[in-house]
Amino acid sequence: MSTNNKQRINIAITAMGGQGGGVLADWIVGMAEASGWVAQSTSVPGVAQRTGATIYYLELFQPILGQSEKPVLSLSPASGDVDLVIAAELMEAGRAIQRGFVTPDRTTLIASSHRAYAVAEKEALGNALADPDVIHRAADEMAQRYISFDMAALATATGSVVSAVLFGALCGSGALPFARDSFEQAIRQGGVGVDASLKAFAAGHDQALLGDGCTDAPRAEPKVQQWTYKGQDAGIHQLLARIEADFPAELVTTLSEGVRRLLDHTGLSYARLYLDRMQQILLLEQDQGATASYPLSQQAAARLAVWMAYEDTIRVAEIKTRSRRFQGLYTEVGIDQQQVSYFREYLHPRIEEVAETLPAGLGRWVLKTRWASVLMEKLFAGPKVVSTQSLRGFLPLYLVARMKRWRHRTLRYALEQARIEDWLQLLVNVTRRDPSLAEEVAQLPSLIKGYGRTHERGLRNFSLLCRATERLHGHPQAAAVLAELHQAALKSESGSELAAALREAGLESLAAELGAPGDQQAGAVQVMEPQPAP
Amino acid sequence: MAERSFKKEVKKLHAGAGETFEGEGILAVTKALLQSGVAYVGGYQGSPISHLMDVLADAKDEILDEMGVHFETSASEATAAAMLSASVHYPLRGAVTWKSTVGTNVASDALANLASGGVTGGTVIVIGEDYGEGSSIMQERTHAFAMKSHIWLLDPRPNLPSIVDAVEKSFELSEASNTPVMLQMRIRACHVHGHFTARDNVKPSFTLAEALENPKRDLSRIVLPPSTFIHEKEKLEQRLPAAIQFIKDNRLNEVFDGPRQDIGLVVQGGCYNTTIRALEHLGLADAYGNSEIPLYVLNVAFPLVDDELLDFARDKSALLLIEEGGPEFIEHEINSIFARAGCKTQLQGKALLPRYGEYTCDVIKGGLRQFLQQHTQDLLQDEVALKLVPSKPLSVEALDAAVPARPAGFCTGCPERPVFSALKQLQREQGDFHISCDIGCHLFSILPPFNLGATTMGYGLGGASSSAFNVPSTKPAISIMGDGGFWHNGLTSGIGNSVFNKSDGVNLIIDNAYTAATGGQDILSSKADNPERSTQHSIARAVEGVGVNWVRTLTRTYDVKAMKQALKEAVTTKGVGPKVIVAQSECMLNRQRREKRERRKEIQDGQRVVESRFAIDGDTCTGDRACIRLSGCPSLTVKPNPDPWRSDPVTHIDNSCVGCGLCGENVHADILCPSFVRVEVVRNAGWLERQRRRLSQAIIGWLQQRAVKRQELDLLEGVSR
Repeated sequence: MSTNNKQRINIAITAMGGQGGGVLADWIVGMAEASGWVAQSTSVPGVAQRTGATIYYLELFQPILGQSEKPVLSLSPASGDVDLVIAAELMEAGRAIQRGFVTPDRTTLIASSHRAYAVAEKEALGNALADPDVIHRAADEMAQRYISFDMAALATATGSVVSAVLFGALCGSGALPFARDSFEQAIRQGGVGVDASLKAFAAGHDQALLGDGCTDAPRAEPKVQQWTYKGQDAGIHQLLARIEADFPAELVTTLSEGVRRLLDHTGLSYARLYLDRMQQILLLEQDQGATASYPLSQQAAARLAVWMAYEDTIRVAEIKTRSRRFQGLYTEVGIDQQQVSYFREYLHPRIEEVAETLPAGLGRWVLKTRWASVLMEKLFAGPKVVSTQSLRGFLPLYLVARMKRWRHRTLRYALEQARIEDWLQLLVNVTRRDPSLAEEVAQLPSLIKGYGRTHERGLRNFSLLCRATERLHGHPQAAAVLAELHQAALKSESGSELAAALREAGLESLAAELGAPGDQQAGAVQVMEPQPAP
Repeated sequence: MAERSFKKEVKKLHAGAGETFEGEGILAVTKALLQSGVAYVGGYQGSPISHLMDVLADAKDEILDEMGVHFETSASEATAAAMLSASVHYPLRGAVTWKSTVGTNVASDALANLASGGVTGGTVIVIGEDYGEGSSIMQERTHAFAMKSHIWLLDPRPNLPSIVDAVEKSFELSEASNTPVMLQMRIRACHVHGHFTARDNVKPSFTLAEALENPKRDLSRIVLPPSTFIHEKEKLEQRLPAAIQFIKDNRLNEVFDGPRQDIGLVVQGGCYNTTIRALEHLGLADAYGNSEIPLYVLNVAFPLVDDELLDFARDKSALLLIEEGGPEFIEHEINSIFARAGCKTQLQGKALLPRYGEYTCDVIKGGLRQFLQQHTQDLLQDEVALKLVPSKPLSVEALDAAVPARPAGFCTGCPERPVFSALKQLQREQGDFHISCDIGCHLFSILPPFNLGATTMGYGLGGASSSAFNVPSTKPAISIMGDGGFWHNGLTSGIGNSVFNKSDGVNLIIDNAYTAATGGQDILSSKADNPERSTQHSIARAVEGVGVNWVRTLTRTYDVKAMKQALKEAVTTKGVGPKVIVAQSECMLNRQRREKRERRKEIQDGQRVVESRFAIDGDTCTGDRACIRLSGCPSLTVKPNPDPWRSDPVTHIDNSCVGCGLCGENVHADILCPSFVRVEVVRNAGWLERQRRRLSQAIIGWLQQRAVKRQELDLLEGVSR
């Protein structure tokens, strides 16, 4: 008995809620039935209709003329027996391959290359984004034909949803024996959002013709670009000339970017301080007989610039009130500048942030003096919603931003510079002893990020690892251990993985510090932490 | 109002004899009920038969009323099962539906009573068998219930003509044997799109009103000794033989013969299509189901028909039984039948097929191959040539590490999310609590990023699951229930029980105005005006009515601070009995559906409308994502960091944001970062507002230019940060 596979086309569609997978299935069924085929579709929703993926499974069967016998169609895909897999998101394409639905002898895989990130990818403290190339490689190998591009972007551009673009790509792929007219007719029959769907369909159709594989323009990896200053300020010109004069050519791009950031953050003298500090590191690296690429200086230049350009209230106020930020928001949200709109900023400075904006002595006194901190807290701290599109919201922030010329007097400045100096000192000490460990130490400041408690947690971890570095002196695998500790610090907010890793490394006393939440040892600052209620 | 409307589809239910009916499985079931002259229908929603309830609700005005069919959304599956008692004394055909096995668990008391006394009118229970891929419940079979109570179980082949026939025949079988019948619909069969030739709808020959006006009672049908002993005898001596006779006479089970006479397959109806496909893959059947090997298809899974089985087994050396799920009740029974009859045919089943899990094509193919290799000399003896699935290349193995799991989560803007944000923040301050969860959307709080909750014991049983923890302790247990579960049984099993036992626990009731998890059906406390139902009954008043002294109702769950405060107060208040927090906000999916149209109209009419969504300042976001760990909202996502000097992704809010406000609330309640901004766009702003805006824009623009000039850094534009 022969099989009749040739007469049948088996299709699996994987889509998440809101992507229109059901509509796509209906279009295909409608088109097939209108063309005289027998069509069956069914679906297995993920948990209810929420964020899980739903698999739609369709079988299209071309009856032989005059044959009245009805085919027996299956309700679920079998591995090795799927002609067409349509994935409305890239990882779902990966999942379809994992499940064996994509086979080299017959499967056309059409997948949108955009990502809907899973919770595990989003909630990580560090970078947990899945590598799209892993999917592309598997798809290239496993699919007979693989057609992929960012269909979500096309859908947005055409004011439609991804299913219409997928339907267009399906038509363009030629995987189904129906003419373009039949596809478009199916969309018209559906009757909802026909014009937008047809537009998206056409866009998908055309891009599918560009060829197999992923046809997206390659994503430009963000790269530091050479910056040339075209302004009039003699001081800046002088500073940039100093880079060329005092530093090897390999570091010029990196350092001028660092200088650019610090000019933007505070000003000329601060950028000069940055170069002074970098000069110290370079000398050290050269003393150690550095290779031509200066890995330590490269690494330190980036980390130091990011750290020195720390986000204090002045910085936040400046970013929030800049015109280019306004333009960016208009574009992102897709609104016309002329339209009446409000940017309601959610701010919640704590007394710490307020005091740190004051001159160092005064700020310290406020933090120590109960009545003063209560007063300052009442006046400036606490939850606020501020509209930067109205004068009442804009002006105070604008004034705070202008305080940057006095930034070097603030408490926050004093605290940050002390921490930075400590770190630089550590870097110097370690470089003399163990250059490979130094490269790990150079990366530690990336642990410090965020605001408020998040910032404190980062500082706590940073400080722990700095002290761990000192204790690792003489350890044969010190660099590897520190790298592991760094990874462990990014595992969870509670720090339990970091504590375990510290114990593993024989640093019990440091691990013990993580045991008591709220116990802050970060750098020089004593942070006032709200005590848990009894 | 349910999430999905079937208003358009239910028009098809008018189809008359000879017309081709096209649609989904559940729609076909509804049509079959009408063709069967059903007098009343009830049920409780739940996947995969939620849509059957939605179809029925939408069909009420369209056709049920005019056909004289009474439809109720039952309070629970127990209610639905008890509803079938209308057919005990009267020749009324009735049908109910629910998700099984969970719904059958709830209904089993009423079902057992119904089955004991037996029925006069045909009673059919349409079971949504939630087993296998896509299931949301524990993996069990309804088969056990059918056997223990003596309820006949139909498992028709999954195509619309077979399903429709099975519904009609179920009523007849029920009447012929005075026994209720379960009709099992698997997940995919519920959603399958297909065609069948319609018959005319039939009005019930006897009506509920007639019954009420001429009441009947028959003591022998009531479950009380000594009748119960007679019922047991009747079941085996009268109803079972009658059923078997009917099944034989009407050929409910089907034999598909094939040229091979030495072997055969016995298949549950629901597994027929997959089995045919497996045979086709093995080169033993064609696309039309013509098989080399004969098949005996059990469209009736219980009871089995001895004669038919023995007939089919005659002259065959071996049979393979394809019976999905465990335990293998059918296998045991066929073995008994063969043993009693002295039949020497060897029955293979779970020895060759897995003892658990869905029987997919690949699984059945594996079992078939082994069976044919062992029990024939000529079929599939060459294993290597038949290997269809190539071994995994390296690029595919790499997927295991790359492809992330995609656990279910709350929808964009879900009002339940802030409740769990608050609870997570509370735990950070007070340490962890023992949390009993319940069935419903709120159960997603068990998954990342919230990771709350220790158990879920059944629908509405969140409160009851904490009852053992009613002991002195510094920390009370927290129980969570949804409004659906609360009205299903939680009011009595959870709240009433806690009051009576003087529990000091905290009960958090999530009231989103619908049974949202099953597709947005109305319940007693729904906010909506439903012309068919009585809604807007307060949960707070209900719990006060059963004796709760400490009740807080929060009408805006997005207020995380208030939510946290209420929870804190609840866990620290002692000696007042159970504490109840009702967290109220409407399901966002339903609200959006409701408001979108109104909003559009207001804009068209020139009214001032404010549309808002959130955005994130890429320049102030440092990529720690503490915000995501308190939310998990689909629209609160990430993107690769545009700054080459920072590798961690930055947070980003995409266009699907509905501006629910949670992000902002979390920023304030948990003191997160200053990156969140709510962008409000005013449509049809008035003259004054526009002028004010123009003035402030002018001043702001001038100040911004001044700042830029002073710094001369406008030359740096376009370079990140």
